[in-house]
Amino acid sequence: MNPKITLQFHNVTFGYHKPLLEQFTFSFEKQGIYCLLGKSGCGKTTFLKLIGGLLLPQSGVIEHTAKKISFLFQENRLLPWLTVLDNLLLVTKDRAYCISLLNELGLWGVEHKMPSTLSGGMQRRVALAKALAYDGDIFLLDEPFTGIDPQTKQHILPFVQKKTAQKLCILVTHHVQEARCISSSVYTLEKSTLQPAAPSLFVEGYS
Amino acid sequence: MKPFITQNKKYIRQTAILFVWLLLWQILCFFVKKQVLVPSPLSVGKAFLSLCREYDFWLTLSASLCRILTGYVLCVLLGVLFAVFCHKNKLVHAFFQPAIQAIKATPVVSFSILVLLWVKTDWVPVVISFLMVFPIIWTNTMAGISQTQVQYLEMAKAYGFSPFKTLRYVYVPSVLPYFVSASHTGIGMAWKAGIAAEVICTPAVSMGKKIYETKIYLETPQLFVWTICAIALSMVLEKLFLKLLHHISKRMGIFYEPQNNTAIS
Repeated sequence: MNPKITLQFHNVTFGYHKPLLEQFTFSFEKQGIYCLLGKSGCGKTTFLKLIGGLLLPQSGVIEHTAKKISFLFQENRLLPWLTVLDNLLLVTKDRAYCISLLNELGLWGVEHKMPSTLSGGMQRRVALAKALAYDGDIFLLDEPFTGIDPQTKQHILPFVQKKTAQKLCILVTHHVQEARCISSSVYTLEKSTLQPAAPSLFVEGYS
Repeated sequence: MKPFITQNKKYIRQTAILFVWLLLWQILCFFVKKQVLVPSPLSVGKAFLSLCREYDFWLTLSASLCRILTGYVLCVLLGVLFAVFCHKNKLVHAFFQPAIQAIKATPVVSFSILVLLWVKTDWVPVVISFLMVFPIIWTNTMAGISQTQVQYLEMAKAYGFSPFKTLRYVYVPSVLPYFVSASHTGIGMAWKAGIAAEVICTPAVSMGKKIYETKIYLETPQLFVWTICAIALSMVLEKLFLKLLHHISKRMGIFYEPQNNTAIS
């Protein structure tokens, strides 16, 4: 049994030219996937970067009990000079596990190909495989299904859910219905607060 | 089968081009009619064959090769290290920028005479080759480092890469195309500057001294032979160095596309 992973924001303030988070306090207590919705520019990616330690809060504290954090960025960020398998081997030594992950994500026989020779959707899945291969205690997935066709998405979603079930996973998406399919914990980031998504949002959609 | 045919076609085309140039040279020689001004390809060939038989010829080639190669290798090593250091420290960069600009603009002759006052004759071509190539290696390595994508560095940080791992997998492959272009341009430059320095300082065993002597004794065919040797050695070195770089990057599992051979100078 894995130890329970917690993540807490205590009065965190952060912003660029205007504040994105102001005296923000929130606690992620239970394991599993949290879906995060919000308009463009509301600070979803910044939120993830703060958790990942890539940005530091201007004030306040972020505390977590994770030893490793898997970060799937909005862009694939695969090193173009390495093969698909070598990109994965950067974060783990287990070659067989990397190949099995690729296969589970519907990528057969691509391990020795260069990322640039793959389609956008395939590259996205390789980036997702990399995040899963790192096997962090916290998963930060920034729009993980961008460019992936609905059929493939339907196939890989249960696998991602299974892999992150015992972890804490924060998944950013723009698609309300997608968020609803993935998790029962759907939140919106708006005006420095994280609120459970209103039921009306699932009917009207996010604009 | 197709690549073999393509490769063969390439060689046939190159040989044909070389033949046309030799023909043009022969025609020019025929019209000028003075071997001192334009020696015929045949007389240059004869001069080459007679020089080839002399031990002194090979010794001279080796001596010049060693000097220029020493200057070049030192320049590559120190140029890269210095670029990394300057990238880390903006003040050092700003401090050395005018000096590098000055080195770039200073004629080889001025430097050669100046350096001759500081070091032994044999070392002047080494120092000159070093100085002339240094700005190219430094500028291009700096450009490569600053062009390293922030996104990859952020990814490396997020996945907890060690500094060595970041260097090996992010910085080195990003800088490599710039470095290859600089090395490519640098080898030719090292030869030109090194030989020019040898002509000015005339070390006892050197191609520069031989070239200088051809001027005194009006041995134009020999001048052509030494010049062709310098060109050939430069080309061979260039090819060997690029092959070495390609081999090293392949061993490291890095595949890169050489962008172009135009280095920032």
